[in-house]
Amino acid sequence: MLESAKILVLDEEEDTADLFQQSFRKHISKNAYSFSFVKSKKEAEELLACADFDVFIIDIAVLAFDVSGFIKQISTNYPFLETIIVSAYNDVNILRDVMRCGAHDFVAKPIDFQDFKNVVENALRFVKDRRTAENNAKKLDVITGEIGLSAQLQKSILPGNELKQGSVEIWADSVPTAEVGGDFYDFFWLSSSKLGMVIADVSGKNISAAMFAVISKTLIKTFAKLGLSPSECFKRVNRILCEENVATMFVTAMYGIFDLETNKFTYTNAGHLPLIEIKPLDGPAFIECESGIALGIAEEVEFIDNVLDITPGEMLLLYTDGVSEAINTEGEEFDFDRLINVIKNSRLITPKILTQKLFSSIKEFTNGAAQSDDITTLCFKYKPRIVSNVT
Amino acid sequence: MEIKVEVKQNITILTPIGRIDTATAKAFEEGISQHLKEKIQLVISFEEINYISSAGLRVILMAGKKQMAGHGKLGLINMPDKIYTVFKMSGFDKIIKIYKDFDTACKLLQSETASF
Repeated sequence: MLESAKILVLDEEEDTADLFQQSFRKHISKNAYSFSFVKSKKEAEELLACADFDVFIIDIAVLAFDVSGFIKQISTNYPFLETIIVSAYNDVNILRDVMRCGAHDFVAKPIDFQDFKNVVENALRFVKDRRTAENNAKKLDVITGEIGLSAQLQKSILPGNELKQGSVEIWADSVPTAEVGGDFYDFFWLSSSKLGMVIADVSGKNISAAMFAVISKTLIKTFAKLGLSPSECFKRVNRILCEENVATMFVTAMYGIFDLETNKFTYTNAGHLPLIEIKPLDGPAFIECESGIALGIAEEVEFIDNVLDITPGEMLLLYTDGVSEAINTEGEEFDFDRLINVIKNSRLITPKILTQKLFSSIKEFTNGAAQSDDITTLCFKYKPRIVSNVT
Repeated sequence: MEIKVEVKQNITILTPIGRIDTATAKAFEEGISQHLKEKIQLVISFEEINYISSAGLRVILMAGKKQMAGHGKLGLINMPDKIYTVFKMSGFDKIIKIYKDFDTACKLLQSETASF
């Protein structure tokens, strides 16, 4: 049931309450309106302070000399209250004055209750609209705040940009298009000699993509930490993502483990772009591999472990299609050739510098065109051993 | 997003035009959805598509799943190499039927089932 509209009436005359209750009896019996009656300004102020009224009907005879001051004060203190002025003297100047101070409407005494009903109804509609607008604005504030929090949460689940430990070095970065994105990367130690790294791209953008990203990232890391091979890890993650995936979202991803004892990089691909291997002497090359289907699409999918031998000094670049598909103002794509060229011109450097070069090249290329997709990269380097002089 | 509609030999052919990315995916989804009916044979022609992003792939996936649930058929035809690469890399070629052209789709669509 709807709450009844609360109406406060300020009038000195004895029969006012009876008159109102009689005229609005249908509204009162249906619980649509509930009236309160007061005879002085002071009483009115006390009541207004302790209950939320919708409409305030004032006979200005009560206010004596301070009509506009009082109306002004009321409209400032109670923005959701509409006031209706009742006046026995049709002094245009006074009426104009109170209207300017924020009164909603006025009626002449003796009151024509047929007309008065419309005036009250109209005032209530105003209050309702303003309350709805206020509620919507509040909801919008909450949502905007939530998006901000989601963005923070998403940032906080990424492991930071850098890992530097012994002979391995990683630099990863992600620039989302919207407030929150669907790309993510991850890297973590599985043991003292095994380093796991992940790159992924969820279909779509914004909150839904971000939620799917958080779920996917958590699942991958959880299964990875069990010590499963990349292919087995993806098989299990995929199975869970497929269960009740009513939104038909999916994520393309690559997960690899670098073993410092064997110098092997074992990785599996779920519909993601081929990784780039950068050898100090040969330069960058795309490594085509057997790929499974993106995660979250079909339940029984086989994934394959691919193995790369990594020589000291080598780098690997994992990236999302936001890199190759970044478009400039002419609608041209950054594409794989430019990607390879940037790397060719930046050999024998650190993952951090390569990443920065790549991001600035993309920025230069797109030349102010709106970014159309999240851009994410993870660059890994197996550093050459420093031969120390044995004395 | 403009989508041309044609019915030939009891098969509905949809030909979307332009880019299917995050900006147009919703319109693409709405345009396609109204043709996803039970037991309908549907092909989407990509001859006039120059780009498809993951948001577009999601719509194709959704269409494929709905068609399967409604015992209908879905095939993709006339795919430019660049678009085909996207389907191949994401593994979508393994779950959505892709045919060279309408005639090939005509011959094979009826006999094949999707594999979700």
